[in-house]
Amino acid sequence: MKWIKLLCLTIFLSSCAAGNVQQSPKVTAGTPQNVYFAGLSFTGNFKDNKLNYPYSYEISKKLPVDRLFVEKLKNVDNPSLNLLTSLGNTDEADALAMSLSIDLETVNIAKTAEKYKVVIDLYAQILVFDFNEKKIINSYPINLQYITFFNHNPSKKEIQAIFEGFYTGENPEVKTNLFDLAVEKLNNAQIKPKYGNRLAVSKVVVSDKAKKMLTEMKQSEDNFKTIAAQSFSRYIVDNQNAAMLPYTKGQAIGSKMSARFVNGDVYNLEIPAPDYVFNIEIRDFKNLSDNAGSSTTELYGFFVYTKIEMMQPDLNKKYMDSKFRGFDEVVLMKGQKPNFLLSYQETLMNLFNNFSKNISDTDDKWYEKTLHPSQYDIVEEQFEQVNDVINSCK
Amino acid sequence: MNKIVFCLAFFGCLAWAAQSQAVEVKGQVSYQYEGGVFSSSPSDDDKIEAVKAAKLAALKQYVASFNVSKQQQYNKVENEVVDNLDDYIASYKIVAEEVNENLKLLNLVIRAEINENKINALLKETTTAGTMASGDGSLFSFMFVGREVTESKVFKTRDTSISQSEAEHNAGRSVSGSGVHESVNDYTKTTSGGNIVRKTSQEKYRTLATTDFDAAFNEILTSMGYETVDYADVVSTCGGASIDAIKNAFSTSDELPQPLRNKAIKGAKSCEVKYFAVGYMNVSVPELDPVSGEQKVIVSINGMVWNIDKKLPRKVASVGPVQYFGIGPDKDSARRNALRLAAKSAAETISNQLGNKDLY
Repeated sequence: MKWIKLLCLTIFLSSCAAGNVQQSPKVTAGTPQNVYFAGLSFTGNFKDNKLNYPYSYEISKKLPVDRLFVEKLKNVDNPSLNLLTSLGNTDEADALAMSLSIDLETVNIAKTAEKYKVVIDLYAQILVFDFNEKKIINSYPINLQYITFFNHNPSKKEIQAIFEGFYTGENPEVKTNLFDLAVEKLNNAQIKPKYGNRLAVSKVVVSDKAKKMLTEMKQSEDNFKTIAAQSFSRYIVDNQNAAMLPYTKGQAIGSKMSARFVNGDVYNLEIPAPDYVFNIEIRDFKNLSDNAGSSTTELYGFFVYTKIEMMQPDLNKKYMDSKFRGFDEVVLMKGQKPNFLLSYQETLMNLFNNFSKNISDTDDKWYEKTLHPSQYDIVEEQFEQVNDVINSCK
Repeated sequence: MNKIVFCLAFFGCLAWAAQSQAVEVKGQVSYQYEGGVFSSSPSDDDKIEAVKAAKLAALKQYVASFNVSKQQQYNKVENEVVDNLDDYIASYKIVAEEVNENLKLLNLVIRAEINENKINALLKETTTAGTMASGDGSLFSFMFVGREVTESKVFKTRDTSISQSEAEHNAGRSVSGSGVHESVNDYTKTTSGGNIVRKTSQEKYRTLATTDFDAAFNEILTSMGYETVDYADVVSTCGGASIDAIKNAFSTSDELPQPLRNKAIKGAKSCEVKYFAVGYMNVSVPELDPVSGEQKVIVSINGMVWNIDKKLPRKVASVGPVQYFGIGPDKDSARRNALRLAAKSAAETISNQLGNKDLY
């Protein structure tokens, strides 16, 4: 009976994705989709500018970031995409626009034995929206991480110089460029005016236990939620090639996202209600250490306990509802303290990355590492259902 | 007909598309099916019927977003829309489906795009005003005064306290083994009370240009079949209360003094105006919007429409008080946006109310 149900679901979802839409698809083979570049923007509330992205915001006021990005956009090589860097003619009925939106930046400085380890994360996303309706169609999350060491506790000016490097590419120390990452995303993007079903991370819940740990690690709960949701979305987009709507912290379904552009424009972009949602619960963080008989090194194990749910909110029907344990280990010199926050974040990212891969490609080793044996069959079946749903969202 | 839609649930989010006027609405239905002779699954015909029911649910959800008078207008054409559902639902997509074979229930969720232009055109046809040829419609004149607070006199609360003291004399007598003791105590009893008087603040306003409001208000009324006339033209042609006098009156009060109102109506009547609207809009001082970082202005509108065709003016429609806000890169554009929004909404409300009474 189970395979019959799965077959029915597959047939049904395939028909959702193709058969029941009455409009003809806009993108056909050999017809590149026109997408207008609307500029660099910042998401979230204006009043939180200095809280969410203090360095990037300062840079946007100081440097011609739009021009720098437009230069990089000349390198986009995607036959299905015709990127227009002027908004001069947007009277097309279905004009699509694209913005590189900055969501969040974090700077972590940890003193190691002799040096200061600096980990910088920049969370952004390419937002594709209907320019006339100002409605978001798809998002491509980007995470730029840069790790460096200083002999001293770096000053704000030194951190600012690193951030400038992300945008200008002129800092010889900083090899990563945000705009290059965006170009890479666009090279692989399949931008369409309409996709199948709509998918989004709807909720990220942090348990009281995990909240306490976050407070101890001096991490804001809201930022952690944004990082978790955005990273999860990024892996689903990258590994499953599905279209995803952006996560909006604390906002209701069918909400608005304020995007403030560097050129001064402000758009209240509408985020349509998703048809299928992922809800993520961060249940607990744990770590273990063991010298494993070594007098010079210490082995640390980091565990992140999560519950991931996928559901259809209107029918309240669940396709996945399972607990996953993220696990990573790191070997440190004796006496060296790990950066717990970054270690947990990295463990979570790995969990999400592998979760998204296992949707379509079962990895037995990952099952053994992540799940209780009694859950293998249940989760495998749930992944099959999730896979069908995700295929309907492409 | 033995197939029963036994639970029609509708829900969803309305997504308003500014230019294409396609409104996206979700519709959900629990459809009880019969199934085939050899199958407990829904047949193709069952699915077709379920989709139709889900479309109806989406339509009901859309109509639920109408204001009362527009809903009443819609009731008149509901059968036409329902009978020709596919003409009004531009497209749809099945979002999710769940079959309960034991209960023979098909749960279906669709996302439908409703052709709002077509529905509005149909609603317009229900009113006599909406079907009138250009030039044949009734004359409609209006005067809405935009005003911004320049001075607000806030009165302190008047706190009156009263206290009253009374001296009391208490005498006691006790008998013990050592003899009789007499004692006298003095007490002071205080009773307090009073009242607090609060007085409403007094506002003074400066009047603002309402060109954008007038243009947007005109646009809606004209599209609904009314012939709009500038009040300035009424005054210059037929007399009546001057624009400045009306503005001055609204700069200190929320009401138009009776003689001034009579004068304005008399002038409009002489010019064969049938509907005359007067009102005011309170325009807030621009402030920084914490979300967008742009300027934000709030407009609160309040107004009344009279049918002045006959001897006694009759109130036939009203709007407000209702608030709208506009956002813009500077205070002027924020104000303009708020005024345009207020005008559009007020004109729609008024024309819906008039249309519902079939006043033309």
